[in-house]
Amino acid sequence: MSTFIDDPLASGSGQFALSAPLSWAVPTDPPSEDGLRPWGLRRMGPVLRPSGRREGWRYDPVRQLGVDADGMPLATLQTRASTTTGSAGTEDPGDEDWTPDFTPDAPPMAGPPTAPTTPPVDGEDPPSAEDWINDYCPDDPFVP
Amino acid sequence: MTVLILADDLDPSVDAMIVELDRRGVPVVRLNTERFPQRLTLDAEFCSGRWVGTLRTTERHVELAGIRGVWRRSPTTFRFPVELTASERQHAHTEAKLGLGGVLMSLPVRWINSPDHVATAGYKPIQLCTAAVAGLAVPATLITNCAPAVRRFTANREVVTKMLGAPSIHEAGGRRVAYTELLTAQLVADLDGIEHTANQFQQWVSKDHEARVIAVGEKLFSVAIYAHSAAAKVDWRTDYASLSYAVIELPEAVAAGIRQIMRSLHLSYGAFDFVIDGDNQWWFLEINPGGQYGWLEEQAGIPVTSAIADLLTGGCS
Repeated sequence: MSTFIDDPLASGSGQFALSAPLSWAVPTDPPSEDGLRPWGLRRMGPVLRPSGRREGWRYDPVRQLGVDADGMPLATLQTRASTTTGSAGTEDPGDEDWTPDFTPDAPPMAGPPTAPTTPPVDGEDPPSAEDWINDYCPDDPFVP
Repeated sequence: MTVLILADDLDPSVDAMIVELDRRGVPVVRLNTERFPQRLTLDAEFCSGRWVGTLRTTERHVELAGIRGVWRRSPTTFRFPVELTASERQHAHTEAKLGLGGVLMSLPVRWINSPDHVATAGYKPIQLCTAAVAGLAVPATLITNCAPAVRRFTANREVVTKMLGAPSIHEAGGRRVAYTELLTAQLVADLDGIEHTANQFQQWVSKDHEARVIAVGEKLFSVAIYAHSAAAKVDWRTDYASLSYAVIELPEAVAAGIRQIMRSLHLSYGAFDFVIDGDNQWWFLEINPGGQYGWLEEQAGIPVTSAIADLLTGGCS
């Protein structure tokens, strides 16, 4: 495994992955038809459990804690065990998604597959023309 | 010396850590990368072989040279002026990652966990190989986009299918989830779409119970998870109300295997999932280097927050 660690699969962006913000525009595209839709997605269903997402909270930058509308720390209001639901900001292991790189290096676009660097352009000699587009078709193309 | 926490604003486990570090009198600064660059400034200068300078928000600042440990939970993506074009935003994003991310990752401090190692550890096939090398039992597993391979693999054994990555996607304006699922003859008969990406299939291990083991440095906290509904017996995430928990002893060989995996993947923290069969054989399922522990800390009383605080402040390794 040391070989892999020394030469990781993860892109440059993925090596400092950042998650989706709490508020972002959820894609509205409908699912593809069976046959086109990846098999593993065909039996997906909606999140059935009620959302335990807290409403009316804010971040208190002085105390560095989440607080309610009255400034009461959320940690004193509700146990963490009771927030095991299915949305960001909760502690549901079901949220342990393996796509933490929300805004990777380069947006997907038509073209060739991933390449470590782009080829020289505009008559420049490499390596000056090499771009750091090191994850051409990344995990999560959504831009907030 | 300051502990730096990179986290989302809404994160109960981070709140608990802030309270714990405050109780210990340990200086701590909590930052969400979302604030960069509009409400978080970076001033870092390369001097004598390392980066020195400050990270500063309206309320706080931290000297880079004064950071003793970094806890990376789930900080969110940078937020740029909305007026930027998509190309400009992408440029800004890349520069921010390479700049802010690079400076932070260069700091000679303990990370829980180093983001680059988290990225590497996220690959399930690597996890399974690492676990096997560490002496842990791993269920037979198939990763394929070939229907005949699925039929071959399922011909003489019970099999589950589960995602290699996220169990959920966002589409049609909402979030949809796919949990671990036992394959039926009907499912195997209709594999349309399997060719479009990699799919994971794994031998079903008849469960007595499951366990989540939280590894914090050398400390291991093992909690048995008992499912009391049919759905939860396949995937306990489907029915929390039916679960019960108990702290249990880890077999020595399993503990040794977990520690070896942690070393191999260069992790300081990991949440391991196991199935324990009727013969008390522990089967490795996966490790999540950012896995949740807060609900287990409350349900089973395991002192994970304290252990992470120890590690961040150098109290133990």
